[in-house]
Amino acid sequence: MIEILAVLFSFFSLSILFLFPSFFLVNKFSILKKLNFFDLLSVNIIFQFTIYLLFSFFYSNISTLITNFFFISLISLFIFFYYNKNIKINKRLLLSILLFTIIVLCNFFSIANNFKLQWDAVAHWFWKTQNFYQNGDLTQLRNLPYPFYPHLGTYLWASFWKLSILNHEYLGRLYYSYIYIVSIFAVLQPIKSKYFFILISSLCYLIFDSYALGGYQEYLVFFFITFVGRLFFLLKEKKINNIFFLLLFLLAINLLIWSKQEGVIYSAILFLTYIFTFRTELKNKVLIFLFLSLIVSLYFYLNFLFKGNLFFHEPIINSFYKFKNFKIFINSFFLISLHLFKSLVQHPTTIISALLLLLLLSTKKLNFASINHILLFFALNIILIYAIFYHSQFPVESILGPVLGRLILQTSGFYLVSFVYFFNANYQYEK
Amino acid sequence: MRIKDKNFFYLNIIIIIAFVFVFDLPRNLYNLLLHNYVNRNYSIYGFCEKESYGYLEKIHSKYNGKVNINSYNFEDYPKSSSVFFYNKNHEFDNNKLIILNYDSDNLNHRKFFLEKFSKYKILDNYKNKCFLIEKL
Repeated sequence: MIEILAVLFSFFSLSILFLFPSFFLVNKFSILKKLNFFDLLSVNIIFQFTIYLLFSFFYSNISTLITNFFFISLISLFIFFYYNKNIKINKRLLLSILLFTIIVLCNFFSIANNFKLQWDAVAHWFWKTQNFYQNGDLTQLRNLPYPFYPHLGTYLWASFWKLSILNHEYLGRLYYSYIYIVSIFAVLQPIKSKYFFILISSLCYLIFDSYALGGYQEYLVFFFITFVGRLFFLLKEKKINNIFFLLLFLLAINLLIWSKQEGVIYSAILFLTYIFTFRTELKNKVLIFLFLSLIVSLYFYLNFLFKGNLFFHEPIINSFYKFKNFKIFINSFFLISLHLFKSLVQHPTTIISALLLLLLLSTKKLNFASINHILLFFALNIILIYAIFYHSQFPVESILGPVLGRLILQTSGFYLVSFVYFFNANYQYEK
Repeated sequence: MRIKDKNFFYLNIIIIIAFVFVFDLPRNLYNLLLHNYVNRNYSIYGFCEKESYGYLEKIHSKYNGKVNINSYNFEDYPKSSSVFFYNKNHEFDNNKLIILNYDSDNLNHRKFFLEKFSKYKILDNYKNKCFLIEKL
């Protein structure tokens, strides 16, 4: 029983914590009014994680900081309801919050019952978590396996673990599941269809992967990429303020880089997507390029400074033997393509999104310009997948199975916006 | 609310409840109520099987957690699962090693063991499957 209470407490505390600060500032900043409730939660997560990341370079323990945020948020909530006694929350939002609670709790209890740490978690991620949990700092990662792996996810895992009411490590990693569901709800909120609740439940189920919740960082990457996908949608359809967009975009990109090694490449892909598919002043594009270069340089410099190592999992320059031998090249191509197809079927949101977009384009309910960023991101992502496996020194067949599915999973949130386009375009035909 | 809308509302509710079952919520809650964390830990990671959490715990408690010892898993699991008992305040004792899931009937295991660990003595033996060994 105590474990059930501990899980419920984790849900309650994360829900209160992530209300801070934007939820209480909606009335002060008109820009926030264009965002839905789950967007606000996402913005808060980005804001808080950025602060936690900054603190990670100086402090090994941020429990006090998180606790302070929690209490400020809790007090602000009381004040908010005190001054807004007659506030009317619309029925749809209330039902969405209820559904969100149900789905998050389903995820939480699934992790609680089957808390097994999967392969990579035991092999390298959990070492870092243990270090941070025991108040170790970044420099102490040097003595552990794979010190150059980004530490953000494990740092947060250890911090939430310290704050949980039972000493069980899985309570610290419930936040992965919380944030990915927040991002799904944020993207799908604009759907007008009466099938909204069924659709959102189905998508949460399709994206749920108990293996990836076993200590992997995939859902952290998923959250940041989905968030950027949502920002692109807001920029295109709601014309949100450019400075606001750039600020959140750069913060999300920065966090993405500190989440997983491929984050650097995903950030480059998202940058290219923005540059080539959005009409904006050259000044903005140059500015974003300069900031991105700074963020990436800082990542390498700080990694070297603290962890004494700035390498990738595999050396960037290697023998490239798969390109030199034609037979290996062709065999690899077929194997990657086959597994890519299998992974797309296993994580079907990407393929369903692609079909929906094709349908909209073919029936001329949507113009190409509205979704060119999704198509470019998809193309670059597929190129990246082939590049990763061609580049790797390991035989393709030995790494395809465990890696490809997770690569598909972490980007699948970017395409969820297709459901918004599809259901809103067909809303008038619903009876 | 029109009858059609009402029916659709109930359909929504039914489908959402169905998802609770799809996510296995009742069974997860039942297991949490019935089996405590320690028991689930052994069932998930095993005593001297899988990641062998139980055997690692036994060895580390023998040294009161004051030493880090690497492990080597013969089965298809991460080679070292010592991370469960890693203590950052202590050094790794490179003279000791915990062997997990050794199968004396497996020729490959025997060959590998003789090749790599012949200059070790056995300090603790659990059913000829999990050992604590030390360099001679």
